[in-house]
Amino acid sequence: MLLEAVDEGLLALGKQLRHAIYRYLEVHKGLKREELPDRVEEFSEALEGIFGYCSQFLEKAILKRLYKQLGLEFKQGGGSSFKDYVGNARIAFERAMKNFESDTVTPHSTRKDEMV
Amino acid sequence: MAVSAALTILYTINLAVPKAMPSEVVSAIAYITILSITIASFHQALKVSGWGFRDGLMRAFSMAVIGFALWFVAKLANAIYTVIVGVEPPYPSQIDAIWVLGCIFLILGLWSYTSKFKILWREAAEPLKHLITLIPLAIFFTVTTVSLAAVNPFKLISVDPLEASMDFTYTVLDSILLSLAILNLLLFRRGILGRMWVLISGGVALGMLLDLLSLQGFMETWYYWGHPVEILAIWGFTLAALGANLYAETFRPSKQEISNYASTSSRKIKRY
Repeated sequence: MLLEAVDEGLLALGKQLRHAIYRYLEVHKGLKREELPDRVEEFSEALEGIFGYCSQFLEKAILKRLYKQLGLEFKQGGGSSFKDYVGNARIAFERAMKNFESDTVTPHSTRKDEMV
Repeated sequence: MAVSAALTILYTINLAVPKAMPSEVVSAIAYITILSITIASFHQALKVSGWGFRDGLMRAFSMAVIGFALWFVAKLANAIYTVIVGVEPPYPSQIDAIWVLGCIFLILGLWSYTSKFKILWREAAEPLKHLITLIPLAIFFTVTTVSLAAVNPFKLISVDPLEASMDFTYTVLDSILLSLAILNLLLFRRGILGRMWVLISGGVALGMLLDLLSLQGFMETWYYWGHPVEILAIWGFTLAALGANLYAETFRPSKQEISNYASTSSRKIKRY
């Protein structure tokens, strides 16, 4: 999902430039597109290396898309980094998944309890 | 850099030994050489996004190449007039019209580049969004006011209104170019693109300084083609070329990608 959000966020700059950015990350930073979800901090630093001050707006565009895909509300807080936001999204998503699983498991277990 | 250094030496020799070579020849050699290098550098940057007008970046670099090519044509025509025909072209002339057209293409190219990243500004906080719009306007009005005060083309308006309006046009177009370049410099500061814009803004600033000095010089009759003050423009173009080179080096497509692109394009052409 993060990859999709990054793809869509960078697409705002056009296909050519998105392609050029991925190429730059791979050639100059040794960062392949597929590795981005595991190397979020390096990706953020690389973006700042290219876009400087403007990178924060690009990160925000990516994060908004990521949070939307996960059905979460994106709220900007002071001092949080791109890595923190991605980490928070991961935690919220895992929590939601657990709740979903327990919601789907609960009726069965109740029935079992009734049988016992 | 080496070529610009050599051209600087050429101007210095011309100043020290005025009869060694006609100053018009020095000016023609310097401008034609440096503009060729600038066009080549921007053409390299153009390869990243490809030639065309569909996308903002394509438009930006295509227009930059066209703009510099028009400046090249203007300088070449000027050289033919002054060096080969031996007649100094009038001011303003068709050559100035070509130069102004080149300037308009460069402004449109710069604007296309800036607009491409406008989508990112939307993510900025509300006060910053307004600041981003206000900064270039403030720069434009300050630079225009200062340069017009320095050159004061209006004092010529009763004597030669055409010359006065051309001086005014040059000053305003230079100010627009500088304001847009500085806006990009502020937006991308600390990044590779920021370094590129430091170089381009520096180049535009030097070019503008030369324009102001030459306008002043023409009025005070101390300026001539090949005057050492033209070194400013030579280094201005050098900085712009280095900026474009930095962009091309950073995002350069691999040879494989270029050949893939070429084979896909040729296949498409064959199909038609």
